[in-house]
This record gives sequence, structure tokens and C-alpha cells, in this order.
Amino acid sequence: MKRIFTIILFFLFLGKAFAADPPLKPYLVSKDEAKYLRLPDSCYHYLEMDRQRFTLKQVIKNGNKEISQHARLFEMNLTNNRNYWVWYRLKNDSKNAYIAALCSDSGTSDIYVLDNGKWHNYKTGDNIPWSEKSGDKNNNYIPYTIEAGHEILVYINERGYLSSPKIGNFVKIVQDTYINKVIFTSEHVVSFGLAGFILFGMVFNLLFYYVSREKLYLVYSFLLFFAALTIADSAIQELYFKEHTQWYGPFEVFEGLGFVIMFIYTFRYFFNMKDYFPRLDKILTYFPHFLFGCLLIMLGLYLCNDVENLKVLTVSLLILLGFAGLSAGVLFIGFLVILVWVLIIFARRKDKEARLFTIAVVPFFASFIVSIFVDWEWTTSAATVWAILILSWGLFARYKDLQIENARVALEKEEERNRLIAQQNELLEHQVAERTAELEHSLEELKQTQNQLIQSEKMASLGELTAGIAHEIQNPLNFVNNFSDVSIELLDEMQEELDNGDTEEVKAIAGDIKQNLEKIAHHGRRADSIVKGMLQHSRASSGQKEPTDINALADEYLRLAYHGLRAKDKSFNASLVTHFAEDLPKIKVLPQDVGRVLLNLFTNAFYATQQKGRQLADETYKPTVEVTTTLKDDSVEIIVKDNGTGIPDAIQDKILQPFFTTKPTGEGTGLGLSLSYDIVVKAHGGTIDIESAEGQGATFIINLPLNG
Amino acid sequence: MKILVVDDEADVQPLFLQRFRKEIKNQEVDFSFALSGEEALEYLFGHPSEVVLILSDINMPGMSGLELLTKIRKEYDVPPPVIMMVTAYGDEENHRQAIERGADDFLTKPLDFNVLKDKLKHITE
Repeated sequence: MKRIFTIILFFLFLGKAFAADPPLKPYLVSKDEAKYLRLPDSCYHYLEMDRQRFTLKQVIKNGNKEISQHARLFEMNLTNNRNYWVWYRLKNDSKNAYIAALCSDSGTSDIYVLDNGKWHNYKTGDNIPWSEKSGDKNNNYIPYTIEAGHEILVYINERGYLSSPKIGNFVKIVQDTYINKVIFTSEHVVSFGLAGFILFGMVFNLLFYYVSREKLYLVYSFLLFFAALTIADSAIQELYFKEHTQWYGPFEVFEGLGFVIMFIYTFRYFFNMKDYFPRLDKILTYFPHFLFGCLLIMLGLYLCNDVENLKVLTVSLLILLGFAGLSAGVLFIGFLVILVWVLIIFARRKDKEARLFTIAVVPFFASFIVSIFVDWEWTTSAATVWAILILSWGLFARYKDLQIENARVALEKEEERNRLIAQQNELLEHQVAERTAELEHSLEELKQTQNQLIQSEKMASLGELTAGIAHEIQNPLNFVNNFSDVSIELLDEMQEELDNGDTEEVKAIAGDIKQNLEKIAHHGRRADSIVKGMLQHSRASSGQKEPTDINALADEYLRLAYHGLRAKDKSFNASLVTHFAEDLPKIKVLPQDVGRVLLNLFTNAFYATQQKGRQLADETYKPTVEVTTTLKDDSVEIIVKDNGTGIPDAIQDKILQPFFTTKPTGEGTGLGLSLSYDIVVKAHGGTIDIESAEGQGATFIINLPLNG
Repeated sequence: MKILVVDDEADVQPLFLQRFRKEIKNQEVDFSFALSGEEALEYLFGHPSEVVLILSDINMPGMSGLELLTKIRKEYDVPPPVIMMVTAYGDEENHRQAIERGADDFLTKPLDFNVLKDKLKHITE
């Protein structure tokens, strides 16, 4: 009774539960169902738990009250952390059992299935530990068999994304996911990993090649490429040759041949065979050609596989393949022999690289034999990886050496360049020194020439003076001679008068004789001073400034210049006007040099008046040269004025330049005024000013400082 | 006999005075001196008809001996004095010019007073 009550109560409860709900339609499943599908909105209810957590019992009891039925779950705010219950009914109307996949969409799903009055509990989802998961652990669903005509009620507590419930067709899922899908074994994965590893090595070596430009790295990277292809061979077959199986054969030949050829090249370059074993190297270079030939033949035959006469072709193919294979084998063995031989030779030399190569390669070749006896599928692969690692290490070390060598070479080049630069510098310095010496020599010559020119200018002016000087000396000499003669006569007379006893007359005569002797002495000194002046003029400047009477100097040279010109032109005559300041103190100058300046100015002045006289041919023209000396505040001014031809404006700037002359060739050196300028301005700190009007005459104003 | 000596050298004066000491003493000659051509002309015009002989140097600043000669011959004709020009040794050009301008005689430097005295005797005879 009690039991019946309980059952009634249960059904009442159930009835109550479902009575309040909008009717929850059972979803009819069939074997034609799609792989996965979302239940339509009318086929499920859900209850979201914000704060409160509900157990299954509570949901079964109360969930119906909280239900919010027709909400579109997809449109709802999707957040990661939802906790909700969803439930639905599945019914199998068919006559066969149907396996439904109860899917989980979220991280954690607790699935409760009420079937035939019995509860079944499953867990699935990404957040459930592998061992606690039920059903298909990879794909997060529970395969559940619904017997023919049965109906199940499914409650799922989801924690994660909020979504409408998903169910699947187990048979279809299994077909798609497992039966039709390409399956990669762990062997594929490992070999692919290895291939990737080797390809990385290839890229690395290509970089080395890019930097060092050594062919070894290029061929080695090719070798690695083919090694990678060989190792990942079966994986590549799975991936690319499933549909085009006829290409797999050529591909294998390609990769194998490529590997062998690149191995040979690597071997050649690694041991630098060309230098050490030129003959062997030559044989080795033919290997690839031969192997390529074989490859082409085999490829051609392979491609002809599809055409008719298949049998004939197959036979010949087999023969050729056998031949090619045989020869390849023979060559391979031959190569191995060479390899071993070279290794032995290098090993005898205790060559580091040979040892490395041996360590790298021997396990690889040994692995073919070992793999026959040892039942471990990775023997060859491991040996390959080993060989590649060791060879890569060797190449890396080699690269390092190469870099060091390059650095050394660069350093040497730098040193060589520095040495060259130093050499060039030395050469340049030498050349500069030579040029400098030449220039100095030229300068010396130039100075000598200048001195000679100055000397010749002096001599020229001296020449001009000679006649004047002769005249100047002649006069005093005449006086000396005459007064001497007269004095002798006077002495005779004196004798007579003494005899006569006329003492008065004797006294008078004695006075005369005394006077005469004074005259003789005077004129003697006069001649002496003229000669001295001439000597001084011709001598180089002593460089000693001495107190000098400018008036006397000017007078002396005025006369010298005048007589000099007159000596050449007897008809020339000029008035010499002197205005000498009487209170003129002696000033410290270089007398010869200042004398030369004055002589120059006077000569020019007389020359100008002479020229004008000739041009005018006028009796009324009176050539006049005036000399004026004036004492200024701190200088003595000497003005030399003439009424000659004057200086044209056009050449006034030039007359002080060296070698500028208006005189006909041979008459002037053109150095006179230039030297005068040097003497007055540079040697004495004075000034020369020129005032001139063409045809009116010229005035030269010289200022010599008093303090010298 | 009045003789005018023209020379820019002042010392010519004592030389002549001493050389002709006896002649001056005996009043055979009388000397006047001029230091330039201009001075000589001034003297001539100041003492007309006095000077019988003029001895002139050619080489002088200002008016030269030749100019003086020219002027005397042009401006001072009556009575014409004897004019002797003193030229430097070997000065052919001046010699020629002096003759052209009317010089009577020549003396070369250095003066030989004995020759001069001979010439004076000829003039007085």
C-alpha cells in the first residue's frame, strides 16, 4: 500500500512537474539524422542558476517553476561562467536500436539519463580529467543506445558557455572521425618532427652559405633537404601521394639520388678532395652524372608505365631497373670504399675533421646492418639524426674557424692598407720635402737675382753718375794742382823779397801761401768725400743708421745727378734751387740708402725736365729742379720738385712697382722708385707722396722720421 | 786790361789773383769775377765798355757759359769783348757749339796759366 502510494506520489510529482511546464516534446531520432544537430527550442527546457545551486533532485522538483522556456539561447549574453541545467527527451520510434551521441558544449558537463526508470550518470567536457571522462573522450560526447520504441529523459548540468543542447548520430560520427579519416601514426609524427628538425638545420646551413659563400654549406643544406625528405618519406606519402600513387616511386628515386649525390658533394667539399686527392675527386664528380643518368632512365621508364606494350616495357624496365640499381649499388659500394679509404688516410694524419666525419657517418652506414638484427624501427633515423647533428656541429665549428680566419684576413688587409697608407705618406712627405727643397732653391736663386738686380740698379745709377763724378773730382783736383803751382811760385817770390829785405811783402806772401794750402787741403777733402760717396753708393748698405745731415746729402746728390745728366747731354742746363732749412738737425738714417733715394729722385727730375725741354724746343723754358727741406714735428720733409713732363695719371699707381719704367729700353731698370719706396717706407718708416699733373711737373714728398 | 772771369767755383778768384799777382801788381791786368752767367751779364751792363776779355766756364748751373756767350754776342756788341770759353778736356760738342756762337778762343781744364798768359800777351799786342 505504502509502495503504491509512493508510486502515485511520484507520478503526482511528475505530473505536477510536467503539468506546470509547457509541454516538452520528445525529439524523434532516426538513423538518417545528421552527424550533429542542435535541438529545436520546443524540445528542451533550461534553468540558469545565478547564485543558488540546484541538485538534480531540486531541478526535477522545482525547475519547472523557474523555467523560461522560449528564450533563444544563442542570442543571450554569452559569458564563460554560466552554470545551468538543460533537459530534453529523445524518442526512438524505429524498430532498431539507435545510438545517439549526447554532446557537451561546455567545459564541464554532468549528464543524467533516465531510461526505463533507471538513472545513468556520465561526465564529459574539456575540463574533466581524461580518466574521469566517459564516452568518446576525444570528442566530448556520450554514445547512448536507445532501444527500439524507447524514450529517454536527459538532464545535463553545464558549466561554461550557454548554448542550446547538441546531439549527434554516433554511427556517422564514427564514420567521419575514425573510419574515413587519414590516421597518422606516432611514427609519422616522429619522422615529421625529425624532418622539421633537419629542415631547420638546412635553413641554418643556407644562412651560413649566405654569409660565408662556401659551397660546402650549400651542398650540405641540400643534403639535409634530401635527408629530411627521406626521413619523412612515409608521412609525405600519406600526405601527397595518396591520390597520385604513380609519382611516389620517382619521388623516392629523386630523394634517394639527391641524398647520395649531395652526400658525395658534401664529402668532396668537406675533405677538400680537389686539393688532397684530385684523381679520386674526379671520379667522385662523375658519380652524380651517372646517377642522374640512371634517375632519368628510371623516371622515363616509370612514366611509360601507363602506355601500351606494358609487358615489354615492364621487362625492359625491370632489366634496366636492375641494371641501374646494380650499378647504383656498385657505385654506392665503390663510394663507400673510397669513403673508408679517405677516412683511413685522414685518420692516419690524425685529422680532426676526418675523425668528426667518421664519428658522424659510421653509425649511419652501420645502422643499415644493425637494423637487420635489432628490432627497433628508429635505428636508421637515430643514426641519421646523429650524423646530421655531428656534421652540423663540425660545419658550425668550421664556420667558426672560417669567421676567425676571415677576421684575421680582414685584420691583415687592414694592416696592409695601413702599411700602404704609411708608405704613401712617406712618399708624399718625401715628395713634399723635395718640392720644398726645389722651392727653397728657387727662392734662393730669386733672392740672389734680386740682389743682383739691386746691385745692377746701383751700378746703372753709378754709371749715370760717373761723368758727373769725374767733373766733380776734376774741379777740386784742378784747384789742388793750381794752388800747389801758385804756392811754389809764391815761395820763389818770397825768397826774392827776403833777399830784398822787404818783410812786409814776405808776410803778405806767407799769408797767401797759407791760404793756398788751406785751399789745397779743402779741395783735397772735397775730392776725397766725392770718392767716398761714390764708394759708399756702390757698396751694399751697411745697415748701420748714423746721424746724417740731410741738407749736405741732398746737395751732394743734387749736384751729382745734375752733372751726371750733363755729362751725357752737354747742352742740357737746369736751374738748381735749394731751400734748405738751416735748423735741420742730423737724423739717423742709412746715408747711402737715402742718398740713393735722393739721387734717384733728382735723376728722374732732371730727366723729366730734359724730356720736356726737348719736346718744347722753346728757349723760354727754364728747366728747374727744386729741393726743399723742412723740419716738421717729428720728421724731416724733403720735397723734390721739377717742372718737367710730369707723370700721367694712368701710371701714377704703377711707378712704384718694380721694373716699371717709362724710359726707353736700356736706359732704366725700373727698379729705382721701387727701391726708393722700400728704403723710405720699409727701412725708415717714412712716407713717399707723389703729386703730379701731366705736363706741369712732378713733386715727390719724402718724410723721414726724426727718431729714425 | 779788364778781365771778367765767370765760374761757379768761388776759389777760382784767389787762384787768378795769385797767378796774375805780378801782372796785377804791375797793373797790366785787372780782374773781376762772376759766379754765374746772370751775374756776369749784370756786371757787363753795369760796367759798359770796361771789360776787354771774358773768361767763362761752360759747365755752370743756371745760365750756362754757352748761353752767356750767346747773350753777350746778341745784346752786348759794342765794343765787342774777346770771349774765351773754358771747356772740359775732350769736350768736342761744347767746343763746336762755342765756335758757332762766336767764341774767340778756348782753354781746356785744367787751366794752364802760362798758355793763358801767352794768349793775353797776343791780345794786348
